[in-house]
Amino acid sequence: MALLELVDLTKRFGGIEAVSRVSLAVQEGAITTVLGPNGAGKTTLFHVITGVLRSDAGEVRFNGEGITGLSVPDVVRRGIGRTFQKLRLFKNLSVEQNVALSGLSLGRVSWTSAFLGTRAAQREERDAAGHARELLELTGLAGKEAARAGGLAHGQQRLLEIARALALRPRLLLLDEPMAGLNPEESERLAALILRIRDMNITVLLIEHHVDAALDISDHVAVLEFGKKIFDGPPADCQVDPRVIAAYLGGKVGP
Amino acid sequence: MDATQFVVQVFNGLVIGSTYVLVALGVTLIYGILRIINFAHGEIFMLGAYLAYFLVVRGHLNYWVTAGLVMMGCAILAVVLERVAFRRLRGFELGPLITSIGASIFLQNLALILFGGDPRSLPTPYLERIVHLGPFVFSVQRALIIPSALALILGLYLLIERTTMGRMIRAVSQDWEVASLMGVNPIAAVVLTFVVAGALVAVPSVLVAPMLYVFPLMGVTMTLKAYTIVVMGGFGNTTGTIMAGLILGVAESMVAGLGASLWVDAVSFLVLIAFLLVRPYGLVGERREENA
Amino acid sequence: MRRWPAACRLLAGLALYGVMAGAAATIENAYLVHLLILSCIFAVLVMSQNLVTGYMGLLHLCQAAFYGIGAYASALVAMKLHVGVPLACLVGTGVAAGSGLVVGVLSIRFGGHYLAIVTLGFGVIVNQILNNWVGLTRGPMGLSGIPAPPAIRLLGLTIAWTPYTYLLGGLLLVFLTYLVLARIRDSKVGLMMEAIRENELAAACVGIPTVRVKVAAFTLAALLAGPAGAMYAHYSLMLVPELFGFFDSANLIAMAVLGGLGSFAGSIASAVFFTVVPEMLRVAGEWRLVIYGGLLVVVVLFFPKGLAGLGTLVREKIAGACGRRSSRPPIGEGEARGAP
Repeated sequence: MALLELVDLTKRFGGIEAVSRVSLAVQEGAITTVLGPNGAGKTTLFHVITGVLRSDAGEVRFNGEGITGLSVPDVVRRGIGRTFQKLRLFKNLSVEQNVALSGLSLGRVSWTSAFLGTRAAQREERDAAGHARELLELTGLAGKEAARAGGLAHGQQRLLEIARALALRPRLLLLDEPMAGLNPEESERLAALILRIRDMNITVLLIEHHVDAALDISDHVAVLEFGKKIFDGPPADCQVDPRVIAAYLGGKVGP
Repeated sequence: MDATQFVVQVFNGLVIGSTYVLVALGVTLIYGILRIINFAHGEIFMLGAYLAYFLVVRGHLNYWVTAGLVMMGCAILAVVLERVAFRRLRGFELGPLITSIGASIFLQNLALILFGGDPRSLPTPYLERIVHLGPFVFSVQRALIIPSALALILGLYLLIERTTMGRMIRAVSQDWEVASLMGVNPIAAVVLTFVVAGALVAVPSVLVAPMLYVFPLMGVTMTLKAYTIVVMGGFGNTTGTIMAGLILGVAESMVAGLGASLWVDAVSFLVLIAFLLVRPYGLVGERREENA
Repeated sequence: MRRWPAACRLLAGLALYGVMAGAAATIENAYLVHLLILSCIFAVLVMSQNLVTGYMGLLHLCQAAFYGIGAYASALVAMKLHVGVPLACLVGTGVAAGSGLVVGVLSIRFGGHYLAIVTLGFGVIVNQILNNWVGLTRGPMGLSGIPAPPAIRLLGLTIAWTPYTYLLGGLLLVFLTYLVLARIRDSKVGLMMEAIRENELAAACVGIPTVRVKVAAFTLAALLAGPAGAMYAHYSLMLVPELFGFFDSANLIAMAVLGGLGSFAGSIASAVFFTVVPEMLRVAGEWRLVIYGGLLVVVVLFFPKGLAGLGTLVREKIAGACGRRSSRPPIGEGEARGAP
C-alpha cells in the first residue's frame, strides 16, 4: 500500500505554479527520491506535504488518511519527520537537547505535570534523553551530547538534523538534500545511514542533488521540472529517459 | 448630519486619509524590504514639522521652498536612522523593533528638551483662505493635500514600477539573497527605500502640521495609525495601504462628525481588531506564509 | 544551582528570602523603602515582559495595559462591590489573565508583527477607556480612596500594613514569580519555548504546538501583571490612567532588554537598578528619557546580553575556576530565521 499519496497537488505563488498537479505514490518501506533541477519545486512539495504551505488544489493522503490542510505539528504527530535544505537546528541548544526535544514535544506528560516536576515528567525527560543518545550513536555523533549545536561541523549538523527527525519515531522521513555540502566520504556514510533507516522500517522520501549517490540507494524515482512531474519509475530507467536528460541539459544524470 | 455635512466630512476624511496614506506608505515600503516595523517613523514626521516651523517662522522662507527642504531633511533623517539603528541588526528579528522604539523615545524627548513642550503653530499663506464650490465650503489648506498626495502616489508608482531604482527595491524586497546574487546592491536599495519613505512623510509634515499644532509628541499617534493602516492593507502591500488609509480617514471623520471626537483614536484600533478577526491578511493581500 | 535537588533549592530560596527580609528591616530611609516596593512591582512586570519578549522572542507592547487592568479591576471591585482586598486582588488577576488570553488567541497565530501592532492598539484602547469612561474610572482624575489590605492575623499576632509589610509582600511576589518562571524554564515547556525562539519552523516540525505555546506564554505574562497591578493599587491607594500608557509598556521592554533578554535574574536586577538608581542620583529629569532611549539603541547594538551578560561573565569566570561549565547560555543575539 502506498504510505503517502499525492493527488494532483498544486501550489501557486502569484501567477506561477510552483507545484503543478503532481501525483505520486510513495510505497511503504521503500526509498523514493525526488530529483529535478533547481527551482523545480521539490522543496515546495515537501512544504506542502508537511503543511508548512497550504496547497491550492489536490490532496495529500498519509496512511490512508487525508492530511491536506492540517497544521504542521498535527502532520508531524501523524508520523512524518523531515529535515531541511537550509539547516534549521536549534543552534543555542545542546546537541542532546535538539534531539530529545522531539520526544518531549510528542510526549504525553501534560505541561502542568512538567511544571510541577512530577515523577512522570522526570521519567519522560530521562526516556527522551536516553532515546536521544541512542540516535546520536546511530548517526555517529556519540560523545557530542553536550556540545552547542551551532558549533558542530557542517556534516555533523546534517546528521544531527536527521537524528532529531528520527526521534519523532516517524513512519515517513522526508530528507531535503541531506548530502548538500558533504564531501564524497561523508556522502557515502550518509547513504549507508539512509539504508539503515530503511531497514528500521522507516519509509524515506528523499530530495537530492547528488544524483548518482541518490540513484544508488533509491528504489523509486520521480523527477520534477518547473513544478510538473516528468518522470516516475525505477532509477535505471530514469538515467536514460530523454525528458529527464533534457531537463538537466547535460547535467549530472548519466551512467 | 445632512447631505452637505456628509460630503464635507467625506472630504475631510479623504484629506486625513491621504495624510495617513503618505506616512503609511513609507512604513509599508520599509517593511517590504527589511521586514521590520519602524516605530520611529512618526518622529520623522514630527521633526519634519519642526524643521518646517523653523524655516518658515525663523528663516522666513517661502512655504514651497520650505516644503522642498523639509523633504530633503526628512529623507536624510530616515537614512541616518537606518544606518544607526537598523544596519547592524540584519538577522536579529527583535533587534530593530526595539531600537526603533528606543530611537522613538530618544527623539521625542530630545525634541521636548530642545523645543519645549508648548505647541507651536505653523502659519502658511493658505491657512485662512477658503473656497466655495456650490453649497460647499472648503479650506484651501486642506484642499491642497489631496492633489499633493495623488501626485506623490503617482510618482511613487512610476518610481517603483518604471525605473531601475524601483526594480532594485522590488527585487531586494522579494528576495534579499537572490537579488544580491544577481548583482543588485541590497544596501543601496535599502537606503533608497528610506529616502523615499522620508520624502513621503515630509509632505504631511509640511501640509498638515499647520492645521494641527507642532509639538514633540505629535508623531506618536501618527505612528500608531500608520501601523493600523499597514495591517489593514496588508504588510508590504502598497495598494492595500492606500485603500486602508483612505477608509480609516473617512471612518474617523464620520465619527468626529457624529460628535464622538474623544473616541476617534480608538476607532482606528477597533477597526484594526475587526480586521484581524475577519481578514487578517489585509484588504488586498494574499495569505502570507512567513515560514517557508 | 539547578542541579541541586528540589528540597535543597526550596530551603535555599527560603533562606534567601529571610536574609533579604532581615536586610530590608534595617533600612531606615522611608523613601528608599518606597522605591524598593516599586522595584518589586516592576521586577514582576519586567520578568513577565521578558518571558514573552526575551524568552519567546515576541514583541508585545501592552504589558502596562495588563498591569493597569489588574490594578483598576482590583480597586474597582474592592470599592464598588465592597469585596475584601485579597479577593479583589484575585479578581484583578483573573481579569488581566482573561484579557491576555483573548488578545493572545486572536492575534498570536498571525505572527510577530501582527502581535506587536495589535498589542499596541490594545494598549491604546485600554488607555482610552481608562481615560474616557469617566463613570467607571473617574477618568484622568483617577481613583482615590482605594482600600488598603486588612491587617494580617498570623499565629496570634496582628500585623498591620506598614511600608515594611508591603516590602515583604513585594519580595514574596518577586520570589514566587521567579520561582514559577524558573520552573517553566527548566521544564520541557521552557525548552519548547526556546526551540520556537531559535527556529520556529523547525520547532513546528518536531511536533511542538507553536501557537499554543506562544499563547500560553503571553497569557501567563498577562496573568503575572495582575497581582503587580493589584499590589500597586492597594499600596498607593490611588490610580491614574497615565501610569498605564504606551510609554510605560515601552519602558518595561527597555528594562527587559537592559537586564538581558531571556534572563529573569537580569530582569530583577534591571528593575531595581532603573527604579532606584536614577532617583537616588537625581539624574537630571528631562535628560533621563533621552538617555533611556539612546541606551536602548546602544545596548541592543553592542551589549545584547545586558546586565545578565555581566552576570554570566562573572559566573563563567568562577565556574571556569572551579572546572564546571555553565548550562544553557542566556539569550543574546537571536539567530536569523532560516539562516543556514
